[in-house]
Amino acid sequence: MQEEILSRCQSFIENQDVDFIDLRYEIVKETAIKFESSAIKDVSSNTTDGYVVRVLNNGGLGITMVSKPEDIPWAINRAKEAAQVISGEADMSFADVPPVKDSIPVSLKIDPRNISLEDKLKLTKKYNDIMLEQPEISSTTVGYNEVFRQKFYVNSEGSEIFQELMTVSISGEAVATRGDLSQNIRVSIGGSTGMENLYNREDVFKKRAELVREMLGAEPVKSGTYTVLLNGSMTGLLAHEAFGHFSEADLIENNKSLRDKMQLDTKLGTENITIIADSTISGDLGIYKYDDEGVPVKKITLMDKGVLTGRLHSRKTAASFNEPITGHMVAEDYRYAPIIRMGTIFVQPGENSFEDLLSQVGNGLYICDAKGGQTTGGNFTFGAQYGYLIKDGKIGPMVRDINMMGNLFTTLENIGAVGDDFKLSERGGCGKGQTNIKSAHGGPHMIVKETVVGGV
Amino acid sequence: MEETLKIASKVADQAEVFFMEGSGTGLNMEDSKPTDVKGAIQAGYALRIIKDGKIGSSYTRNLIDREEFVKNALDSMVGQVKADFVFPEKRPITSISQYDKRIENIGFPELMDMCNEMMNFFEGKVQGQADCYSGAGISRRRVMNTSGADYQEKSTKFHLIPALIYPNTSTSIWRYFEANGPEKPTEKDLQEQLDLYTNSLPEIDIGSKKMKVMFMPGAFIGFEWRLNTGIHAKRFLNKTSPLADKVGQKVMSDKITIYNDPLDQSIPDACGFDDEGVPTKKLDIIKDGVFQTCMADLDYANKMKMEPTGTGFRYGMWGDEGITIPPAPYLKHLRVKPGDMSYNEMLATMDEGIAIFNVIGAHSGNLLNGDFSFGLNPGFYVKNGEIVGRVKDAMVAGNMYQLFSNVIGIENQNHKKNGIPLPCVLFDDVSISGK
Repeated sequence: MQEEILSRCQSFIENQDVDFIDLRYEIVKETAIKFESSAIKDVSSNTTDGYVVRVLNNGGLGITMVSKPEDIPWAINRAKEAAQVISGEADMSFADVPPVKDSIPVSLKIDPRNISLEDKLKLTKKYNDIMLEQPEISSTTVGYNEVFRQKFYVNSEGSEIFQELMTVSISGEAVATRGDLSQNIRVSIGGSTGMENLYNREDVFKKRAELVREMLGAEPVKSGTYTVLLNGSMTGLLAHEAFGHFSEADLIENNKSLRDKMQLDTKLGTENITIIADSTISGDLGIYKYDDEGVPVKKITLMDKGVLTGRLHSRKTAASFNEPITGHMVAEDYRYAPIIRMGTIFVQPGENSFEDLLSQVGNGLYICDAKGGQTTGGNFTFGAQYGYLIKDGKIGPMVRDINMMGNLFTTLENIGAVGDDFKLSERGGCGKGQTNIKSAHGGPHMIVKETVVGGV
Repeated sequence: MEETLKIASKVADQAEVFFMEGSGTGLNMEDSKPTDVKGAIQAGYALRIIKDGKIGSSYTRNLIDREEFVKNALDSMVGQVKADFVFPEKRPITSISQYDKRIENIGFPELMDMCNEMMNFFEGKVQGQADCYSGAGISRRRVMNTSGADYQEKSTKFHLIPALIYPNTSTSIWRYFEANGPEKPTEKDLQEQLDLYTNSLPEIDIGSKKMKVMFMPGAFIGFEWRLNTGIHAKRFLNKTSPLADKVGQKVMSDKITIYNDPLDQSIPDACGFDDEGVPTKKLDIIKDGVFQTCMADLDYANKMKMEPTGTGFRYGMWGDEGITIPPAPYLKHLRVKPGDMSYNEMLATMDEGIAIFNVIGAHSGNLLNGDFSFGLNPGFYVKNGEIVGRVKDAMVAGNMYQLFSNVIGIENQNHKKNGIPLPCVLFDDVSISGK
C-alpha cells in the first residue's frame, strides 16, 4: 500500500515548473477513552487524513493544506501563487540535502493495535479507580490516548519516505477537596514504543492521589526571589521553555537583535549547564528518524558548559544561518505545515548527589513536577505541581501554587550545581502553534539562583 | 449529512451530525519582510448516536464511506458511555449575518499590500522591529439531528495584527484588529500603539510589593481560563468549584458584571446555535457581583436537572481539531460590562502601579481554585499617573475571586480591537513579585 500511496503523491508533484515542491500525506488513527470520575465520558477510535503542499520558487515559499485529494491541484496552484507574491521581497532558499528513499515501519514492543478496546478501557478504569478510591479525592479525569501516524513524504528532488509513529499515554488529573479548598495534580504515563509503559503502573496513580491530598495541608508559597532546586521534570521544563525555544532557529531568524545575541560560540550560561536535543534515543517518547522535510534527525549539543554550540533548523533556516541541517522540522498532523520543534531536550547530568544539592541551596525552595510553561521573547514562566521549603539544607514543609518567571539570559547565568540523576518525561504537549505530543524533556536535579516566584 | 443521519437513525434511537469547514489565506511579515504565506481548506464531520441510553461517536474528514462512519460510532459504544439526554428539537434561533462578500476577493497580494501599509507607518519609528500578521477566511458550520433540528451558519473573518517588538526580545505591543470584512486600523489607532510602545521602552526593576494594578484587555486570558473551569457544570456536580454553593450570593465586587454573549453581532464569531444545536443566548455569569449560574452542555444539563446554556462547543484550548473534540461547555463570547472611569482617570489614580498589557503562564496554576500567578509580558510601570517604562522579570499573583472583590474601577469603554472586547479593570492591593 505504501508504494502505491507514495507513487500517487509523486504523480501530483511531477512536472511542476517550480524550484522545489514537496507533498506530505498523513493518515492519523486516534483512539481515545475518557473517564470523568466514575463515569465513562468518551470512547472513540477514528481515522482522518490530509495533505500539505509546499512550493519554493524564485525565493518565495508558499504553503497550503487540504483535506481531499481532489483539492490537491488547487493546493499546488495556490502554493505557487503564494510563493510568487512574495518572491520579489523574500529571498528564501533551502540547504542542500541528499534525496532519500526509505521506509520506517513502527517498531513496537507491545503493539496497541493488537490490544482490544475493551482491554484498554479496563486498564484506564483501573488507574482511574485507584485515584478515586483514595480519601478526599473529589473527582478525577483520566484518559487513554493512542495516536498512530502514517506519514508519506515526497519531494521534487526525488525523496520518497514512509514513516510510522505510535504514541500512547494514560493521563489526567485528580482533585482533592477539603472544605472550600480544592487542589489538583496531574498524572501521565506513556511513550512511543507501545503499551508496555502503561502496564504495572498502579503505584504512580496511588502516589499522585496521596500527593494531592497532602497539598490540601500545604501553604501557598510566598512570593519573592528564591534559590530553587528543581527536580528532573522541572529542569526539563526549564530546558524546554527557557532555552529550547530560542534554539529553534525560526523563532529568531527574523528578529535581528535576538539573532545577534544568539550567535554560536557565545557564552550565555554558567559552566554547569550542558543542554542536548536528541530525538534519536531508542525507547524515548521523542524518537523519529526523518522530519517532515525528509531530513534525518541528528543529536545536537545546543549548549556546552554554558557556551552556545548548536541550533535546531529547517532546511530554510539552515541556509539562512549557514549552519548544518539538523532534521527538526515537524508538523503535528496533516492540518499543519512543519515548523521547527525541539523533540527531546534535556540537561546533561552532573556529579552532585541530592543531599549535596540541598546543602548547597541552604535556604530556598525544592520545586517538583512541571505544570506547564510558556515563553515569549526572552521571558518565560513555568509552573510546578508542588514543592517544599528548604531550611538549612533540609527539606521542610510542603508548599503549593508555585509559578516562576525568568529571563533566558539572566537565568542561564544563574544556573548552579547539577545533580547526578536523570529522568525524561513520558508524555509531551508543547503548544508552539501546534500541540506536539512527542515533545519530551527532562534532566537531573538542578539549582537555579535568584528565581522570581509568583506565590499568592 | 442527510444521508448519514438516515443511515444512523436506522441503527440508533437518536443521531446528530456536525459539520465544520474553514478556508483561509494568511500572510505574515517579520521585520518588514514576508515570511509565512499560507492557504488552506479544511473540513470535517462528527457523528453522535444514542441507543438504549448509551452514546457512541465518530469523526471523519470526508463522507466517502458513510456506512463506515456510522459503524465507527456504533463500535465506540463498547464503552457503554451513558447518555440520558435528548438531542434538541428545532426551535427559532437568532439569525446571524456575519458574511462579508469582500473577503472572497482577499488574496495574498491584498494581504501583502495591507501589511506593507502597516510597516510603512512604523518605518523608522521603532527601536526594535515591526511585524505584521494578516489573514482572511470563510467558515461554515452545520448541526442536524433526528429530533428535527437543522441549523447552519456561514461567516467571514479578517484580521490584521501589527506588533512592535522591544529590542533584544520578541515581547511586543500588538493590536488585534478583527472584523468580518477587510477593515483597516486608522492612523490614530496605530499612533496610540506606537505611543504605548515608545513610553514603555525603558526596563525598570521594582522588587516585590503590593500596589494598584490595571489589567488591560489582553491580560484577561488567564481569568477566562479560570472562569471557564470554575463555572463548568461538572465542577458543580462534584462540588469542586469555589462557586458550587454560591448561586445568588455576592462573590465579587458589585462593580463587576460578567456575561457571555454569542449574539452580539458587532463582534466576529457570533453564533445563533452551539455545536449541539442548542440556541445560544446572552448568559449572565456575575451580575453586580452576584453569581448567577454555572454553564452546561446537553449531558451536564441533564445531570444537573437544568436547561442547557447554549455553550456546548467542540473547542479545545490548544488548537485541537473541532471534529475530534466532544462538545463541552465553554464561554467563547465572554464580556465584562464597562464601568464609569476613563482610561486616563484610571491611570491618574495610580501614584505607583502596574498596567498589565499581556501575561504569560495563564494556563499554569490551580485554575479550579481561581489562583493565578502570571508573568507580565509586558507590564507597564506607572508613576504619578503616567506610563514611564516596563517592569523587568516580574509576576502578578493572587486569587481571581479575591482580586475581583477588590475593584477600584472599570473603564467606560471596550477595546474591540484587542481580540476579546473588554474594558481595562483597576484593582487595589495586588501582589507583584520581581527582582
